[in-house]
Amino acid sequence: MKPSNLPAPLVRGAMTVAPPFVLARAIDALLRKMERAHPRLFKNLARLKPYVIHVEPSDLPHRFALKFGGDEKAFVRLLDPRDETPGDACIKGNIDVLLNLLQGRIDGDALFFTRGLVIAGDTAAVVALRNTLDREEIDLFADVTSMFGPLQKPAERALTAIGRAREAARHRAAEFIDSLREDKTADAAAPAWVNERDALKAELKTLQTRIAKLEVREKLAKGASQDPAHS
Amino acid sequence: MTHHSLELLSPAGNPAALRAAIEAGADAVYCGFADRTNARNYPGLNFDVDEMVEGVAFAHSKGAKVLVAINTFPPAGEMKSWKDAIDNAAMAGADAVILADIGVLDYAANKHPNLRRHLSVQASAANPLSINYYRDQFGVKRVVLPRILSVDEVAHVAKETGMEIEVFGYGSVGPMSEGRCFLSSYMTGLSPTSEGACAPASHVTYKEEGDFVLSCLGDVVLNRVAKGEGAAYPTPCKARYVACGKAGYIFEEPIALNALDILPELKKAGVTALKIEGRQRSKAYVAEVVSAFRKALDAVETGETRSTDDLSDLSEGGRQTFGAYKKGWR
Ligand code: SF4
Repeated sequence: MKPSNLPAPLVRGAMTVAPPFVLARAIDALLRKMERAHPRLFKNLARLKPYVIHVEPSDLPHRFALKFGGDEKAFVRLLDPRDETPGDACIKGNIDVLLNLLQGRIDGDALFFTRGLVIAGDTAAVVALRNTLDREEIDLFADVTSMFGPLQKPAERALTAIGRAREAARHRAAEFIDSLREDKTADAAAPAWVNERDALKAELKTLQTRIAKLEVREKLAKGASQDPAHS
Repeated sequence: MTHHSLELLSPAGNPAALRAAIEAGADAVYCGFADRTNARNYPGLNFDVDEMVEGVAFAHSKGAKVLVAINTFPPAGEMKSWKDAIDNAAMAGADAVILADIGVLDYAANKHPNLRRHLSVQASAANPLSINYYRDQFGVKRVVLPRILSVDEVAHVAKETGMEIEVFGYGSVGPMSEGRCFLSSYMTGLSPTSEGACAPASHVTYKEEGDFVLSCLGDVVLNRVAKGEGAAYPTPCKARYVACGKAGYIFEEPIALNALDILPELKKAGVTALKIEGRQRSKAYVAEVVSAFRKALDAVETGETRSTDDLSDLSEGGRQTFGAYKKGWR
């Protein structure tokens, strides 16, 4: 069965309005829960070199510090906004991207290629964390709902319903935007010429690179014919 | 398991990726031990001995194979890790080992004659004379061809050697003959061929500069990427160098190899197995790429024509190429 998703807007909303001390306690509780659910992950994190990574969700007013390695138990701390101490590295992306990354549902390199994820600082720290997380099968939906104890089932149902409602709303919005795009009088043939334009642009780029390479060759050839020592 | 005449070989950087690959339809996976005996030695990646034993058992229970890459070159006087890796692969019940160094090949051939030996792309054997040497001296059964041959050249090698031929179907491309590149060693002092990592993470840094990101290897700036521009791996061959006053990708563009649309040609050329690159990638990548290739390979078998899945989002620089298979530059 495909695991359910935690609705990102809900997470974003809750984390934005929660007072810092409530958020800090919720993070502690989730960490303890995850430690019980994924003991191997915590063992593997402890085995790494000691690092502190700052996680900065681009759509939240908070920053977090994740400390792991050096044979100590990994933990996450809410950073004080005035705290300027740098971490070894920093990861930035929106909360949806970060949650999916944590659960191994999207590829970190693909996000990096498309700049959906920005990293700075010691890359070894980020690579070690990413690879260690990817070994686990983490399902935050299950971890969060199980924190509700006997109310786990109603919590699951409520979160699933919120997720579905959000999907439906997103679908309706996409349909509405598509209907606006389908303004036939504007440019019904847009997709075809857009594709052609993009293909030509890509071809042009390749040709420019080739020309640059040939120019270098030409220069080298000229240099060689002028300088007998290089012949 | 149904018989597929082209074997689909998936990377597995960790046990979760191994399971994801097999569940997505891989016929075999390749993986390595968590040390410098393989060419993807990155922190947090790869298998310890117990994980390898469990991985092989899981794969075999699903009718899939596990090939263990031990494909770096031991430095003088430091053979132990490589010998241990061979012994542990044999003990775990691996279906084959993928080797490059002739000393390591010799050790495996003598100590574990029944353990199948494949020649790694790192050995850079790209012509029949060289490949036949490995076949005759070390009983190698399969060769992984470097990403520098056209489809016709692959067919020639297959015909002249009579060996099982494995080629790359998807993933990162490097312009060099593999195993012979010194660019990264020059910039970091660490050799990809004996330490197992080109552009080791410990030497890579990214810096934000306004709307740009700088990627650096050691103290060399490799690239300056603008917003909305596809980024590349921070390897020296994908760097944007300034030559004659112009910045450009002199060796290789940020682009991924994708042979999805030429599978029938590769099959006709005599290819046995199709390899997906990327043990450093996530299980999400593995699942998506393997299932796209599984569907395409099944369609090749049944002769059905279908449009192939779009993998551009997973590709380096967001772009794809047939690479040397359709060489236009010669
Ligand atoms: S610089 Fe490029 S070609 Fe050289 S080892 Fe690294 S990835 Fe391969």
